[in-house]
Amino acid sequence: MPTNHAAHLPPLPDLGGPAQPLLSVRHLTKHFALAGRGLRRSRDVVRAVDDLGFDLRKGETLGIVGESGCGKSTTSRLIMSLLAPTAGEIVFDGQVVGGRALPMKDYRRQVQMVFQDSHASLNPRLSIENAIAFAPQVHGLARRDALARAHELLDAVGLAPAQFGARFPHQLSGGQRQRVNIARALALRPRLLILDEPVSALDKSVEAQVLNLLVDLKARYGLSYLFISHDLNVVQYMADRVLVMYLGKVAEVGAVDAIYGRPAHPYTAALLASRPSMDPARRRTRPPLQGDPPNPIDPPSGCRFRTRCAHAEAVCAAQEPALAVLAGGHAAACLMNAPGSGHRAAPVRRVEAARVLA
Amino acid sequence: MTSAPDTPLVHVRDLRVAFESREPGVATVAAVNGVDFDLAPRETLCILGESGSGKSVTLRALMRLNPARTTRMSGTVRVAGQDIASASEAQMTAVRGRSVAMIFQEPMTALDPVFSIGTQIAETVRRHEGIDRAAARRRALQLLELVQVPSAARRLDAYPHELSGGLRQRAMIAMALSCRPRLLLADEPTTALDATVQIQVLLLLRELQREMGMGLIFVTHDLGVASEVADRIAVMYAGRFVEEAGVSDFLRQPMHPYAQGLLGATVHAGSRGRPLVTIAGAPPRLDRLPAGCAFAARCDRVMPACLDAMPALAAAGADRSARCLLVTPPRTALAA
Amino acid sequence: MLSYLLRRVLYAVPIALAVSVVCFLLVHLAPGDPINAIVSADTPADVVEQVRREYGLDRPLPTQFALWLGRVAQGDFGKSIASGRPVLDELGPAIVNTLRLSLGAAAIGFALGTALGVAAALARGRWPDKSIVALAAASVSVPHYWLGMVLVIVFSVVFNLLPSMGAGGGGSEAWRWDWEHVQYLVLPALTLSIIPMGIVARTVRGVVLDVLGQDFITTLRGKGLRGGRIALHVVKNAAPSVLSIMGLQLGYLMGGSILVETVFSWPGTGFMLNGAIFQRDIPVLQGTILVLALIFVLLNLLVDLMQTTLDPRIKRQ
Repeated sequence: MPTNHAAHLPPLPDLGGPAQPLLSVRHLTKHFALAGRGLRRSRDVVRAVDDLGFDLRKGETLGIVGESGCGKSTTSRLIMSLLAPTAGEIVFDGQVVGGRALPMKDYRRQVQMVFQDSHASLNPRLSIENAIAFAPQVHGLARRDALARAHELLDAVGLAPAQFGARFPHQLSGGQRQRVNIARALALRPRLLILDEPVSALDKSVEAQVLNLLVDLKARYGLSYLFISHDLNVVQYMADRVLVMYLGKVAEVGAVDAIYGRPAHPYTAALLASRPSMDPARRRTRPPLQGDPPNPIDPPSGCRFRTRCAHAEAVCAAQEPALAVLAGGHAAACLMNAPGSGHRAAPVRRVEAARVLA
Repeated sequence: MTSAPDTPLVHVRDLRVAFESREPGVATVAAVNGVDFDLAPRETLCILGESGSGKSVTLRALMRLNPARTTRMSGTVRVAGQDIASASEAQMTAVRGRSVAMIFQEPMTALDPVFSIGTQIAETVRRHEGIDRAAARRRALQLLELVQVPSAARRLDAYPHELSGGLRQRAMIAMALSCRPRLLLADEPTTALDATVQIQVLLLLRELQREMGMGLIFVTHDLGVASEVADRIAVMYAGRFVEEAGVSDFLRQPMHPYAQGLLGATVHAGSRGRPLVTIAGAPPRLDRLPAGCAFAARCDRVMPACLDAMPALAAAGADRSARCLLVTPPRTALAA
Repeated sequence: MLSYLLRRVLYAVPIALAVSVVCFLLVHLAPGDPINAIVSADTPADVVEQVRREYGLDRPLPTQFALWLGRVAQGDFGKSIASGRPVLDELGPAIVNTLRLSLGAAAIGFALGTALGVAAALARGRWPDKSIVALAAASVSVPHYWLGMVLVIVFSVVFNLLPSMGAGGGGSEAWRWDWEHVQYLVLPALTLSIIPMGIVARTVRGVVLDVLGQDFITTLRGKGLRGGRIALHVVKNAAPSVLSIMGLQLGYLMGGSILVETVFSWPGTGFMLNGAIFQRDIPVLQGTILVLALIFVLLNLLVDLMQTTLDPRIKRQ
């Protein structure tokens, strides 16, 4: 039923002011049960995301990096409410998502997602202007207004509406399709955009164009971004703060310069060292990490990274490291950074107990 | 056939590959439009290009692996002394997997899902060396250990879907190396892998290439990967090489505007805070190539002469060449 | 693996039960009083009642069903109303005859269908492919009883090459695989094979095209393997889908041969069913339908199990 304000579908208002985080995730957990053998249910679970917590501030780009199996895609789907969490809560601008103050339909208007596979994300039977106009119409906008909004957005993403509006997905290139996906995500005037590997499937030159576009749109529409990628260089370019995930947990979090310049977690350091050097005179001779990212079905006890860590000690198997605060927003879940943890490299001074970073 | 010490391992002149379609109204796609290069034994050449540049088609042409019925191939191609362009299909099956071998991008789909990896490695050996099943299985085990697959004996009977992406790619490398080829072709083998696994596989390839004395032609769209493995880089655009140089020379100073655009568009530590350099427009359609320089429509330094005829790939310095009138003005250009 | 087997077998039981309920009800819900098949029209009423009680036809339906099921579980399918002989005695030889016919039709249909399907896939887009696809469509669409009659006219009446009906003298036990007997099998098997041939041809064409389009085929060529070895890979990849279709087709052949058997008077279960329908011979109908349905359920089970052994990607428990 179209309500009064749906005539233009303006963006929903800012509630808590700039100090309140736009998105707050607390103890987010998602375990997938595996099919059991015989008639019994299996006790094996895939611990895709385990006790994840972080904040995303208004107007910032938070980058999430990690390798396959780390849970970053699951996290994005949990935040979009495409999956129900096993435990934990998501708070959007001070209101619990799905609670009485913020029903799902209002939440969905404010948070939208762009996926990696630009082709699979688009309905092959809808022309792109119809694809973009679809969601506003669902939320009550008249067709003529929805189409006008679609054309406006096509313009904003650099596709001339007269030329591209009536085309179908298979008639566009990968980069153009991804622009359409971005336009579609912006149709409801969201405040937060979740970008799940938006440029991974694109050629390098097209990737640059789309990244420029994303930066441009963020400034123009006052958006916040949750940027998920396995490409460390792209995240370094886009993000203000970075969260490094490993096997469903946060390994390290902090401002982009701190993470890239002074990584405190051995995994972060190894990830950064795995990037090709771009200088043939300084080629690597040994890989920073051996083996494959492990399986989230049976993670190692204690610190999950200890099986591949060059600095692992007995104490790492015994206790799971909490996020130890280092300096101003930079925190790492590694016993080497937690004072009094028992690790040889840990600082000796007994300061305040490690706090979970907000 | 003995080869003189400076006989190139790969000799390609004016390679052209086009795909015809039976359907009326669908034009022929000119995927490769005149590629020339030589590869010395033990040398690594990286063919750098984006989708549609023709790099994968070129690679497959070296083994005549493109679909037989629709492919029209012409030019001179000699690999390890064998004339590829005029060989019969029977002769080609003896060459493939033996003198030349290839590894592919997606190991999940490039391996047969219903056979164990041990069987798939062993069948290559049995095909070319005729040894019995037990000996082939032993060989497969040795190869898995060579590519550093942990618990190799157990993995011999594993199916592709039971292995991780990194292990699958190692299995594919083992398969390719099984008959000690002289030339290894790699079609974006690390694109689908995580960063920490990618560097392991790249280092492994480099090490194995050195040990086994192979030539390596590596196709990629990633400059970083190229810088880790290449001796020489060839940039491909619209079916032609537009620049060729040693890797250090190239990374220090690419000459062709497209190559410069690629390097500029590559995101790196220093990019932050400024808009990325992009290349305007899109690659040309391969069924409707323009008469002049294929990059002219997107070039910011285009001149009228660029539209008249395709510039030749001419020498542009010590041991490098470029296909651009700006770099090699017609007066000093030598016929390529 | 064992628990998977047990589970599948366990699932088959309720299916079989449901099937038996359905066939029991179908027979009884048809118009007409079953008693009229047993006694002639002018029988006195009290004799009719007595016969009715004897056959248990006066009891309520659920009771009749329960009693019948109890006897069936002990192997007693009752007596045929028409002939008076135990149903099982008549069913046995009929099943064997239908099996001969079905297997013959399956052999012809599957072999021909596979060959045509492979030929079509290899010649994709060209005229052999197009004509085979058209042929497959035609063979699925043609009414096979009509085709049977045409074959009879051509081969039996006009050219007098093959017999037009029956299975040869001597009954089921006297069967030998010699020309004297097999000549009776040729036309009905050919007729019955038409539809499976079309379906298998289409399926094989689709599956083989699908497999040939996969990336690993390029890898196999890249290893220098020759056509024969690549064909082995194609077969092993195509086998699960194709074999499961064939298994189901065999089930249809067993259960659906009624029209062909009637046209050719082939003494199989279909022929028996035909007679029993017209004679309202309920014990025969119930027994035959139940057995055929159970065979079908069993075939389904075997197809499922075969899938797991052939395709390593299906998780084995």
